[in-house]
Amino acid sequence: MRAKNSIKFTPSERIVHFLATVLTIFYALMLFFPIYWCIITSMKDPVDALKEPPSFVPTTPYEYDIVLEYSADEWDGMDSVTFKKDANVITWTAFFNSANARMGICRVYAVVDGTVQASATLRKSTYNLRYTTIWDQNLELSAQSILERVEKAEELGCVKYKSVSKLPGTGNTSDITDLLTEKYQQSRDLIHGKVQSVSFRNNFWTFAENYIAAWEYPKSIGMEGGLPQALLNSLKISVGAVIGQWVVCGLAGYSLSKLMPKRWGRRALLAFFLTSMVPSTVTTVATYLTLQSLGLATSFWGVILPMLANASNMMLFKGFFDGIHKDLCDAARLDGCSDMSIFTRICLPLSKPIFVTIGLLAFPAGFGDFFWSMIILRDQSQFTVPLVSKVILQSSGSSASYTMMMAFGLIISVPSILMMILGQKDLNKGMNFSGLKG
Amino acid sequence: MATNTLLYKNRKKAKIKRFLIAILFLLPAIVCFVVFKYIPTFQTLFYSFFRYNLMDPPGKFVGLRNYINAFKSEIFWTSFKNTLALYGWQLVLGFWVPIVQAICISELVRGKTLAKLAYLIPTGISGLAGLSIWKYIWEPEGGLANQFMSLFGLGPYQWYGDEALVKFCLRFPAILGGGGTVIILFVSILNISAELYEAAKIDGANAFQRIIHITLPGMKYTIFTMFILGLTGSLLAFDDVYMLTQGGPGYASYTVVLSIYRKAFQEQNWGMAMAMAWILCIITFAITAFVFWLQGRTEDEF
Repeated sequence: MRAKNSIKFTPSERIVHFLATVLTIFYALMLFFPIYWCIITSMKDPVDALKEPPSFVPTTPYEYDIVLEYSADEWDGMDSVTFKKDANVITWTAFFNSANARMGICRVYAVVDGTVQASATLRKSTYNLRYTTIWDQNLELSAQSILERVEKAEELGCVKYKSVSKLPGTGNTSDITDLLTEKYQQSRDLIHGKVQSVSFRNNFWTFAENYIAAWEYPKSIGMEGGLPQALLNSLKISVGAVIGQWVVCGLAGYSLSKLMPKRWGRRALLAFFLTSMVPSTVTTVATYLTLQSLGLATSFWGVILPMLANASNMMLFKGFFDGIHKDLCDAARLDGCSDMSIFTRICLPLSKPIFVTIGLLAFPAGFGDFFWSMIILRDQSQFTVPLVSKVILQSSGSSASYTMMMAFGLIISVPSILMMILGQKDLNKGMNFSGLKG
Repeated sequence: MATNTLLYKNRKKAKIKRFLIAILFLLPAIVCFVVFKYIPTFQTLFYSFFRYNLMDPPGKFVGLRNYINAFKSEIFWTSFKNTLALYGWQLVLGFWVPIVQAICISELVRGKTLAKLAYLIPTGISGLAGLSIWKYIWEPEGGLANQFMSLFGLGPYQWYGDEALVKFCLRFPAILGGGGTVIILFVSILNISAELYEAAKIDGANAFQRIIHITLPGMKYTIFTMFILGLTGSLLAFDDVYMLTQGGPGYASYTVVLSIYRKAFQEQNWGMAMAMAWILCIITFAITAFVFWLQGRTEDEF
């Protein structure tokens, strides 16, 4: 017989420990892999997303510098709008001709007699989003079609213009720049300046392109407030659900555990719990009709309120309050404490873990709620993050690139992950206390 | 004597007062459950006998016509078969994974907290973000899955576009396990009495025997609960199917909830949608009851 606290393990135990360690590490890596792949992809140029063989390190898009030369007379006679148009034409041709090049940002510099006068910046991501048809149709390049598209892009605000006085350090040149220069000469009749040089360089910060595109995407589907609006809408629902469940389920759980006579408490709990046997999707239609008669069928309350009737969270609350010893409440009562102040002064301060646990369960559920939100929230200004994701997921391949999708996924995961890390300690406690013991 | 009755009266008064407070505390929950659970449930049953008319509810009484139409509808049965097949894949691919993972955590000598975190954090990735990752991986042209298969000279496969593979692909992520399930199972292992393990040690059981004869039986109830929860959750599968395949290709991944949704919100055939919902509800009940009965029977054999 071995002593209990002996550190020596039997051979079979050693094998099991070894196997357990190996398997745990294996599964942890497996679970982490999709996230790793997501992060890496979000830092790639869209061109590389589906390339063979896949790259397991970020391949950020390049930054292109195009220098346009103007004669002094020409420059004096034109306004900034003309240069913007030139820049637009030339970058458009660049993006158009380099569908397979990692071209993220295009900067066009205007040089007059060897001094730099102005620059215009175009981002492929915004171009892509705001004017998707550029990439979809009509690959025939005619002067007229270019000008039309350029005007459209101009209207949509795809060009950023500013005056500068310095050229960037020269980067690499390659076949593609030769090709581009050639193309620009062909479009000579469309622009006023002359292409002097085309070069590109590697800039780590261009990985942000996908994140910018993700940030802009909700705008491109007609949400005026953009991603902040979608995040805010989702937050409204999740915070509403958390606070509502704290109040509704918390009060009910306390009442069932400490206030109700035992017999009645058990019956009431059964009545609440029976409803969770009827799947919520089954009653979807009727709930929708009920909400319609209450006039809530298109408001955020229509999404939040049905979430509050949550029997399992009520059970968690009851289980936790059951764990607070009855003697504690009785002692307080003997000292002349009313039922109300027993709840607020004694039980509430003790129950932080359960509130955090319910918050951690309800927050992601509300933030990611899809089915109900899709039925209730029809107006684009009400779209939540999952509804925007739905548009992205279903349009992938055309206007939404996978790289942008991954960036979007990472952005929208931030709130839930933050909450999980912050509340991890209390989550453990809450789970252990409230009868989740199995 | 007088003081006694007074005390008694006071106590009774306090009891009634406490009962009133109890009701007051329960009131929000009662309102929520009645309005959003009880009323809709009975409404669903009631309206399923009508050809529901939004303008003039409840519309024309049609008796069991909605149910008969639902049973006759071939798509409805296909969607049932699909839903069950999805659950089948879920069981084959993923049901056992959290159990293995939980046992592994409990057998670790050190780093249990770290392992728990490693299993929990990935679930923080929002469900929809997860779906987009998998959609990207299964992409037929240039997706990671096909590139991996081509290493063995196989493929390319259409994955989500292939009627035979789509259900497998939809449930494949379950093979990674992780998430809250692992933690709940792990807690259930912690609750197995240490005396059992010591007794086994004294009897000379080795570590493998200990896992098979003590740990696994100790987790039985939690595993059973997970099984039931997984079943009901799977019968209600909607989000991923709707987002990724929309029931396609053809009707290969059409689920029951998807067909209810289409019937109600796209064809505006509310009455029939509610009849289908009740059929789903009854089948869920029946399967759950059957599993419980089965569990009760196997229990007797021990």
